[in-house]
Amino acid sequence: MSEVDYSIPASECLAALVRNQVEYVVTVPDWVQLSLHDAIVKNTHGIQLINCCSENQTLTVAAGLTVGGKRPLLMMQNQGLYNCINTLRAVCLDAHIPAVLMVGQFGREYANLSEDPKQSGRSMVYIMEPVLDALGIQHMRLDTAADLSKIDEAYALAQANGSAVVLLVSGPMAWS
Amino acid sequence: MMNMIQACGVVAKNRTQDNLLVATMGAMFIFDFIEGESGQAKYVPMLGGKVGLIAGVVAGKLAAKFTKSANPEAVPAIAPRINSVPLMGGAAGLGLGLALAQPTKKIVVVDGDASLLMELSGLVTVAQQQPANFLHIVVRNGTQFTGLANVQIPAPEFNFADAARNAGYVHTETISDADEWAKRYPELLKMNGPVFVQLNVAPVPAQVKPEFKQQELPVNQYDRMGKEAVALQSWLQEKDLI
Repeated sequence: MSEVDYSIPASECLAALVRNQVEYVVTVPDWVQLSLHDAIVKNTHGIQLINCCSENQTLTVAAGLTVGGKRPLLMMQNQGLYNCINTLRAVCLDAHIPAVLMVGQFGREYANLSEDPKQSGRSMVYIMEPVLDALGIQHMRLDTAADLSKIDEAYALAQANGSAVVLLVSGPMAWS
Repeated sequence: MMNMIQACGVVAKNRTQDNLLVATMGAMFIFDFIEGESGQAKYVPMLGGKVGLIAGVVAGKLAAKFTKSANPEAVPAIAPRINSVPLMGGAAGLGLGLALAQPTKKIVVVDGDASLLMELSGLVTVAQQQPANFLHIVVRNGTQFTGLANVQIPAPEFNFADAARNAGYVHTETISDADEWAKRYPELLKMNGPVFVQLNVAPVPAQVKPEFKQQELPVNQYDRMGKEAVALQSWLQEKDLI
């Protein structure tokens, strides 16, 4: 497969979010998911965008929305996830408030897209899955459009387990 | 300068079904002492100084002992409080999410100064959303681990009200006097937000001294936020708000 195959169309991802009744996307924007961010900014599907100043805030705002009865999606970069591990611990591991995060694997080499991300030469990429494993947080890879059904699975798991599920977006999403 | 009982007592005494309360650890300890079965600190006197602190805590404890509900399983009249604990810096975000999800309720966030400094940019995140139903209070006592070791925060004189105004809150003010706070609070509750109030508060005196032994913190310090989230969700469901 070429790198184009690892470029999930933003429109298809947006359709998956609508299918999952996502009402808010809470984010610190991510290079990998820029086209999805743009599609949500245009607000053609009724999903509200909440831009936060730090990833810690994405987690607490999403927690408030969830407790208040809404369904948010968190969207951030791999570096952002490292930035908010303590908040992730408090909100999802200790307080058991469910959360689904789409985390872009910023820095991942195109040549690595068909390989194991742990073989990446970039620390922000290759430590991600081991870090999530160490935290006991479930994760799945969104490599291609065929993986978008994992969003449905992630919401079901997060709700059932009262915890976080991280969807790792492998390559830059397509502007289509 | 007002004490912590006066700062938190005004909030507790004005609690109704129409407001939801989010607190950080320092305020949480005071609310735990004073709010009682009704959640409204009914029997707590609002006296100044150290005498007021002691009287407030003692009155709260006595009220909790002698005014137990006949049916502790009953849904409380006012919503259970949720505390961002143990998570410094989380209260404003938690409150913002609740404010957006529950626009018919006024969300009152009682933040700590050290906590807010940790996520100061959260003021911008809140202001960008312009939640009309958001009242943000910061208890500025210049210390963290207040009442235990009273470690000075990095900027004890920091002007949070100015920061909130610059971030884009629609109204900000600073109050130091307990009587003024008691008079002003119901008016602030009615205002369209986001509103920010900096309360200049005297720190609870430190306990530590030579040979002081730190006790292990109780288990509920670590799991209470989850239980409170469930209780608040149940309350909202009971009121058909979810």
